[in-house]
Parts: sequence; structure tokens; C-alpha cells
Amino acid sequence: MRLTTIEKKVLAGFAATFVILGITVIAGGYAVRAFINASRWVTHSYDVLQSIDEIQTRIQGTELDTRAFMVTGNALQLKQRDETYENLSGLLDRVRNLTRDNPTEQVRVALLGDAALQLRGLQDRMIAARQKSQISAGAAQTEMAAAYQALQQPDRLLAGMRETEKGLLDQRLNQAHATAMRAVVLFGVLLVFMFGIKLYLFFRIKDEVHERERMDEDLVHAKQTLEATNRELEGFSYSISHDLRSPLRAVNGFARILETEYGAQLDDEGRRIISVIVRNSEKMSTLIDDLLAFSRVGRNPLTATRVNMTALVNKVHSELTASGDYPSTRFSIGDLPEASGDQAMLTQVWTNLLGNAFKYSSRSPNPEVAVTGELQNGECVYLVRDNGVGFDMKYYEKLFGVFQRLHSDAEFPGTGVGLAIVQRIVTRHGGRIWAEAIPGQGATFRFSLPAEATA
Amino acid sequence: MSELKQVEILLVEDSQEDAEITIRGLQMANLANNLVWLKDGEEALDFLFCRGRFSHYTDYRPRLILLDLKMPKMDGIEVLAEIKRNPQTRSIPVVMLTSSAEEGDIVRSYNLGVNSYLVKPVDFRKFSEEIAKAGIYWLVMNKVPG
Repeated sequence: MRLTTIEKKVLAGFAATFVILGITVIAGGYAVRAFINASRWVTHSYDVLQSIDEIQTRIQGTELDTRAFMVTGNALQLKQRDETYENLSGLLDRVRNLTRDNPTEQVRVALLGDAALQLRGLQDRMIAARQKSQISAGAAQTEMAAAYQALQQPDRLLAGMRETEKGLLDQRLNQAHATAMRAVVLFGVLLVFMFGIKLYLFFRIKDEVHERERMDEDLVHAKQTLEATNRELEGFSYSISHDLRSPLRAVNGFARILETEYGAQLDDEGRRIISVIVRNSEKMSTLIDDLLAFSRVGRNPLTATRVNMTALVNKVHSELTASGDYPSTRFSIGDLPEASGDQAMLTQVWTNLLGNAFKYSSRSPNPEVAVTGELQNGECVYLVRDNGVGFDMKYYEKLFGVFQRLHSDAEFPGTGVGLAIVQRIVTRHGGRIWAEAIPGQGATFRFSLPAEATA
Repeated sequence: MSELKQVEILLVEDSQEDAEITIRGLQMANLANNLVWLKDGEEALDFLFCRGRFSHYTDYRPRLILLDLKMPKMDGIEVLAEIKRNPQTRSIPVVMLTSSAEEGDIVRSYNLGVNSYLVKPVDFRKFSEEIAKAGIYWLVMNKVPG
């Protein structure tokens, strides 16, 4: 399949669009995954921060419980404190786990654990003293101050951790935002590319359509010019048939009258000169008639019907030999395939081809003319072979030209229009004509017609 | 003008030479004795309908009209149409004599009721033969309403 430039461009454009679409899909997948990753880290940071807050609340909670026990001596407060410590150790594990990748935080978590233990020790001591009622108000005051001091350590640690995690959170939020922005920019660029390609294709196609419209207009114009030329030609050939034949008839007629009425007063040379005038006026008349016949082939419309070629050739043959010409020529005809075409025009084809074959073989010792035909690759191919004078293949190019002859008028009379007419008719039917010959041995003419009507 | 009573052939032909050749052809068959030759269509119609310079004539109907197709002013087709339109002249045989075998002219002539259409051959002998045959056929063999 051959593609025009515009078709190639459109195909390339669509291919490029599909490639860009593919890139978009893949890049989109990566971008979404990167964004989900970044988001996961953000969630992680929030988890850590939340845990840190809870640890602080719990540590303060144990201190509050302890102080409440110191005041009320209620065992329920102790139970609550123990539960809080258990929760606290779970939370510490959780933070340790969450900050596995951060050595600084691991140290802080360890220190936090130690600080919590220390605080618990202090609290335990105070509780034991309270239970034994051995603690004085002053001592309790001191112990509480110490516990308060002990509380500062986890607070500091937690504040540090919170700070670190907030930094990380900021960093991770930024990263997620950057990932999203990168995806947006990438999609934007791809979109612009795609739009650009479409725009380019749009203008190419627009140009192409415009160009074709212009060509259509040219074609219409050319057709009109051709029709006008044809009409002119028609008028021209009409004039030829009228205006040239009339004076020619006068030349011929008056030469004949001269011959009839004054022939006795002329010598032989005078009479010969008259015969030259007569002969040439008749020759010119034939030329005009043939030229008109040739122009008519192009102008008359084709009326295609099924044509029985065998019957047609037999009819042409009997007309050709009706006057008793060519008595010694042996004629044979094979089984010819039926053709589809204009009956009158095909009659003309056979008349000219058979006429030539008989004429150019008439001087052979045993003149023979054979007509055969067959179906070949959906075409009807017909063949006319004679054993006459043939022609030199060197002049093949001239064979089908108007007024072109390969033999002199003295040898074989003719105007050189017959084969031109044949070629024109065959071509108008969508067929071809060709020939081969050997001088002195004969010629073979072949012509093809489509098996089905095309006209 | 008594000889006009026997007018047998009206030849309408603008070319002097063609007319002479036609008349000679008819002479060979002895048919040109009562022949009137007119040079254009208008004159021919004046003659047939006794108008213009033929206004003092009455009822000289030719038995055959030989009509050239291509003439200046009024051509053969127009003359033919006029002849065949008028009941007085409709039955006179009209033979078109022309140089052209143009299908369109032939069809138009027959549509107007031409009786015969001859293409004049260039060869004088053939022409004489054909014109003599036509003359004999239309004047001798053919019967027309009295």
C-alpha cells in the first residue's frame, strides 16, 4: 500500500500521540506510588507525635495518681497508677518501634524509659512511706519536689522528640507536595506536546483539504476547456466535410467534364494530366472522409452491448469479399469469445484489420488470413494473422499514427487512418492493441477488450 | 412564361459549380429540360408560394425539389420546414443534397419530413449516376397524390 505525504504525517502524529499517552500512563503510575509513599511517611510522623503526647499525658498521670494517693491514701489511685505504667511501657515500645530508623530517637526512648523508671522509684518510695504512715509533712514536701524534678527529664526528652518529629513531618509534607507538583508539571508538559501534535495535524489536514479543493476546481476548469475545445473541433470537422468537399467536387467534376467534352481535342499528355487531377481530387476526398471518421470515433458516445464476435467477423468478411476481390485468399476463423462493446465501432475495427490483412497479403503466392481469439486473465484477446508483406518493426511507433503509412500508395493504396481509428476504438473500450511483423513474412495484430463492459 | 407550367425540378443550390455539376448529371439522364435553379432559400419559398418577384405566377408546382443543406441566409433545413408545414407544398418530394453525412442533420431532416437524403460524392461519375437514379425514381417511378 502506498501512502501519500499527508497520510504518513497523520499516521506519525497518531503514533506520537499514543506514545505520549503510554508515557503518561506509566509516569502517572509512578507519580501516584511516590505520592502514596510520601503520604505514608506523613501519617507515620503523625503517629509518632500522637504517641509522644500520650506518653507525656501518661507520665503526668502517674504523678497525679501518686499525689492523690499521698493526700487521700486511697488504694484505687495506686491501681490506676500501675495500669498507667503498663500502658506507658506499651507506648514506649510503640515509639521505639516507630523510630527504629533513627538512632538519636532510640537513645531518647531509652533515656525516657530510664527516666520513667527513676520516677517510678521515687514514687514507689513515697507510696511505701505513706502506707507505713512514716512520712512527715516536711519529708513528703521534699520527696514531692524530687519527683517534680524527676518529671522534668521525660518532659525535656519528649519535647526534643516532638521537635525532631515535627521537623521530619515538615520535611515529609514538603516531599509529598513536591511529588504531587512534579506529577502535575509532567502531565502538563505531556498535554502540551499532545495538543501541539494535534494542532500540527489539524493544520496539515486543513492545508491538504484546501489543496484538494483547489485541484478539484482546476479539474473542473480543465474539463470545461476540454468540452469547449471538443465543441470547436466538432464545428471544425463539420466545416471540413462541407467546405472542403464542395470545391473538391468542382475540381473533379469540371476535370471530368473537360475530359468528356474536350477530350477529343487533347493529346495523350493532356488527357493524362486530367486523369491526375481527377485521381488526386478523389484521393483528397478519401483523406477527408477518413479524417472525419477518425474524429467521429472520439465524439460519438459508446453504446455497449454483448457482441457475437464470430458472427461479426463472418459478416465483415463476406462484405469485404462480396465484390469478388481476393479470390485466392484462404480465410479461417476460430471460436471467438463474445465481447462487450459498441457494435458499430467493433464492426469498424474488424473491417479495418481484415481489410489490411487481405490487402497486404494479396500479393503473396498463397495468401492466408486467420482470425482467432481467447480469454486471457479476464480479457478477450483477438488475433488477426496474415502471410503478407509485413512491416519493419523499426517503424512500429508510426504504425498507429494518423496519416502514417509503412507502404507507398503505389504499392498498396491507403490513407493511413485505418489503424489509428482501430487503436482509438480499442482504447475507448478500455483495451489495448499491439502487433508484430517480419518483412515479407506477414503481420500479426492482437487487440484486447475487457471481458466485462467498462464503458 | 408558359414553359414554367412544365417545371419538373426545382434545384435550390447556392454554389454555381455545384449547380452546374448537378444539372449536367441530370442532363445525362435527360431530366434537366424543365428545371428551375434558384440560388437561395428565400427565393425558393417565394417561387413555391408565388410571392415577391414570382407573385404574378400561379400554381406552378415542381414535381421534385432538390435542396442544398448549407446556404447563406436561409438554409435548407428552414426551407424544408416551411415546405412541409404548408399543406399546398407538403406532398412535393424533397431530396436533400448535401456534402455532409452529419448524423444531426440527417435526423433533423427526417423529423421535418424529408423524402430522401443524399450525400454528394466528390467523384463526378458517381455523383451523376446517383443524381440520375434519384431523378428517375422520384419523377418516373414514384407516385404522388394528383
